[in-house]
Amino acid sequence: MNSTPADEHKFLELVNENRNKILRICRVYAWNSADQDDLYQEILFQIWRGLPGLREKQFANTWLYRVAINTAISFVRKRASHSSRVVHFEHAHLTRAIESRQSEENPDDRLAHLYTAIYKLDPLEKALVTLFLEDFTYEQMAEATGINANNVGVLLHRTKKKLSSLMKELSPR
Amino acid sequence: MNEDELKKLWQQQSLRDPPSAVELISVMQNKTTLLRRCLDARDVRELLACAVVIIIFGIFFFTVYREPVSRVGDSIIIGSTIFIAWKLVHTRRTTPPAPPGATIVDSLRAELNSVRAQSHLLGSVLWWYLIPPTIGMLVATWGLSINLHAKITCTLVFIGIDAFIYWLNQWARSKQLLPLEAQLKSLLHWAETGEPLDQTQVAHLRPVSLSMTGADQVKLAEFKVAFWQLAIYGEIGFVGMWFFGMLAKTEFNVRRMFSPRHLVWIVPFFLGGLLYSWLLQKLTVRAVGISTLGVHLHKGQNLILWDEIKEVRPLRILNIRSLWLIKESGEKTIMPWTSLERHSDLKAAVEAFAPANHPIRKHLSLLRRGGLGPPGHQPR
Repeated sequence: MNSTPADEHKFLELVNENRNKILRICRVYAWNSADQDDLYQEILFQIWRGLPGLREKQFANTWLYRVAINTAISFVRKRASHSSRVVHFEHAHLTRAIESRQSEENPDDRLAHLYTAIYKLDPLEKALVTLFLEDFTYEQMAEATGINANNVGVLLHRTKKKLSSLMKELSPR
Repeated sequence: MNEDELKKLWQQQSLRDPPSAVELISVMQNKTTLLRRCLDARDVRELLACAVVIIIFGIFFFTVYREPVSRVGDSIIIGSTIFIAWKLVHTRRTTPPAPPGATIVDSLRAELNSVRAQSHLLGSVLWWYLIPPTIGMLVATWGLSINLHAKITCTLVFIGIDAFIYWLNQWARSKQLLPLEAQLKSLLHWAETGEPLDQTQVAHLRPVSLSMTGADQVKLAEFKVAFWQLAIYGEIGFVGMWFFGMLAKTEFNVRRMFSPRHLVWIVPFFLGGLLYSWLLQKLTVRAVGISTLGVHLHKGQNLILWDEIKEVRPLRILNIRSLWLIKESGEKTIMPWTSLERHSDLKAAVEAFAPANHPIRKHLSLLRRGGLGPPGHQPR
């Protein structure tokens, strides 16, 4: 892309308006801050590349989520494919290590529980929950993900149930 | 917590400041240039490899080999090389990634198509990548006026190399591409039908960073592969290239091959082997890490927990011993052992971090006493 000042202005405007949304997606898909920074930069790069294809500004919000979530899913997959085996986080050692980290950093932080629960979801479930938390309607979710509008409600309902039970497991007894 | 509270909590969370957007413009421009260069370089590399083969066999055709049958073989090799280059570039161009603004489902579909195409390429590697040039090589070799033993030896070498490349490709396909294809199919199926996901398929999509988060909590001692181990293999490869090159140049006359005029070329090949080994060592920093959690391989991206390892078996190649780490499921992972640098540190790390009576401890005796590192150097 050979950028013009108008493109640069459009890019900066879009990024500044949606900075927090992008950062929240990075937190959902990348666990540590180094990965979050990498993912943030990768999402911005994909926005930069795809911006000339965005003609109508009223669709910018949905478009941006598509770019961000696609990039994040691909980022997670690439990281996973670098390893021949991924350790399952259910393993006792790892769970203990992660729990001890959580208890050190955020003893009763509901947000930390929410993130931990979201982290245990699958990539598409994460996408749906993120869109739900960002206040998307079912139609907007269908438009952003490409999932049939009739299925969005069913899938989201199941995902919310799963999230809720995960959060219950994590909350202090 | 109800849904509205959850949304409020989510939307009002405090987030750290990323780099300023203005700075990002120049980063984006640099990344765009880099990406374009990478894509161009990939095509150029393939076309260059094709050009090198065409030039070499073109020279053979016009100068070295005058026999008509050999020339037919050279022509087959040149034709096959052009076909291979076309097939690689064509497959890549017919399965482009989805545009950045595509829906998630479309994006996954594009990725699935690309993975399927790659998997098909590897699956059929025998027919489009191996057999055509091998036929050319065999025709060229059997058309030469050399003795029968040399012809048979060459034929066996070609078949052996083909078998190895075929095995390597099928291994990569079954270990990497087929599981990835299944995962993507499973995700798409979930999105399209709403039916529950197959958990075994998507388990691999969970980020490795999670295991690394756990690993962050523990002390880790890291080791890289010793230069001498890489050099042994590097030199065998490079001196082997000299050997076969000279064998071809002297038309299989071993006595002429060892004349000073040809022997002098062994020096640059030997130095090339050292340079190659040095570069390889630079790229394999952190080959193995040992921590209280387990053994970290592939620059720390593959963690095998201590209690997952049910059996440890040595594997000896030349004078180098590696270890097979075997899990209960029978899955085997190879770990460099006697070839790692700083044996005394490695010993100390295993003694400090591996559980008592762990099978890996039985293999500590294979390590040299004293090691290569500075005395008293402690694991990080």
